[in-house]
Amino acid sequence: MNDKFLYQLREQPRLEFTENLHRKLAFSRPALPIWDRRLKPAFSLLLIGLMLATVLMSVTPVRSAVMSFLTRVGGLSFEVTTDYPGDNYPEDEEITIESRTLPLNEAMALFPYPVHLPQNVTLEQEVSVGELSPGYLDVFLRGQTQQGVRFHMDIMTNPDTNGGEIIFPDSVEEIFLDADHPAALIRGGWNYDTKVWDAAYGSVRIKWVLDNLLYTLGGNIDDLEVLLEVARSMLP
Amino acid sequence: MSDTTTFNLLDHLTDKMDWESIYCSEMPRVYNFFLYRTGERALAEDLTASTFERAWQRRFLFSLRRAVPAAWLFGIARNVWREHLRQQRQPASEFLDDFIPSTQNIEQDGQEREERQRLVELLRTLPEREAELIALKYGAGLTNREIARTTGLSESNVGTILYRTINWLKQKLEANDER
Repeated sequence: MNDKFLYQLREQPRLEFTENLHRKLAFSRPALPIWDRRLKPAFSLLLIGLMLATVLMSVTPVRSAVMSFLTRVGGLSFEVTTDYPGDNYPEDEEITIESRTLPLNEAMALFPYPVHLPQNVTLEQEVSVGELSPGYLDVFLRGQTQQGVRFHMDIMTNPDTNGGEIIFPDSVEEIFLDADHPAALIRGGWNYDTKVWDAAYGSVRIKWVLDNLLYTLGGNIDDLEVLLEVARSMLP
Repeated sequence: MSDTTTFNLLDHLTDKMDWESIYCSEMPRVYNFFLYRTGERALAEDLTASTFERAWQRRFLFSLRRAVPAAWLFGIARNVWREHLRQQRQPASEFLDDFIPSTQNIEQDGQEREERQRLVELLRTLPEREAELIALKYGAGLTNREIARTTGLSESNVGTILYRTINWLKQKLEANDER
């Protein structure tokens, strides 16, 4: 079939635009600072300090105190630590949250705020609803996109009292769903068998707060772009 | 430690990619994808810039995903386009008015310009999926397999939709010529 007529709109981008965008993206990073010999003595001292710190950090209580800190990413609180969090809670303090199954529309009606659900996806009609404390709702639902990508979603009330998820250093970063909606992108999870953070464990998760609800959208890392589309479809 | 190994992990992960080459080869394709979608040079440039800025900011994701650069970039380009549609809610009012005749034959230029204008107007009437496939195929120059990878459609489905759309466009253009 002759389709040559469809190529007639094609053209080369303007040279000025090509060069300006190239400059803006700054592919060629400036030369990195060259090692200054005068800094060598200071570097040696730093090395000794690091070795000392390494010895101190091998003592568990010291490590826990030093390596755990709070941070905010994408408007959400996180507690960052290298220590497996499960060991910090005695067994008798563990709380089991009873959940019940409800139809999707009934579960959504429980929320005191408007709930934004993803568009152009198929959601399972039965969802799991947990109540951590009176008025503190947690709804877990599953869905599938038109491309067949499966995802799960958690919607919680009172995002400020979430306390901050405990994560491993460098496992979370800030992303933007659009100009006005920051979110946190988390890769990996705590492996309860090995008791270490595993970057390939579990799923990738996108968390954001909207209308006083905390949304967590999770799925396969390979489907991140699709998950981001799902998240964006939920913005008002 | 050598003098030049103090760069951060992000750069280390992405230094393996030849972004310069990717930019040179893919930027004109992304630009033409948007030119076919919008019919406006200035808007196509803006959307192309947004696509590459976003790709550059998220370049570390590319390393982790191990995707083909074109598929990854056009995935971002499609998102940029959808966001643009969401913001605009209406198509541009004038298409390709800034096309400048490229030869000295004014009469011929006028005819070519008219043909291009007619084609752009027809592209505007296409449903979103068909218009996107035409832009990916003829603007960006992707193969049917690359389009399938980018859109999530099957390769045969892409071929079928394109075949029908091209036929339809051809009939409309021919009908216009006969008038």
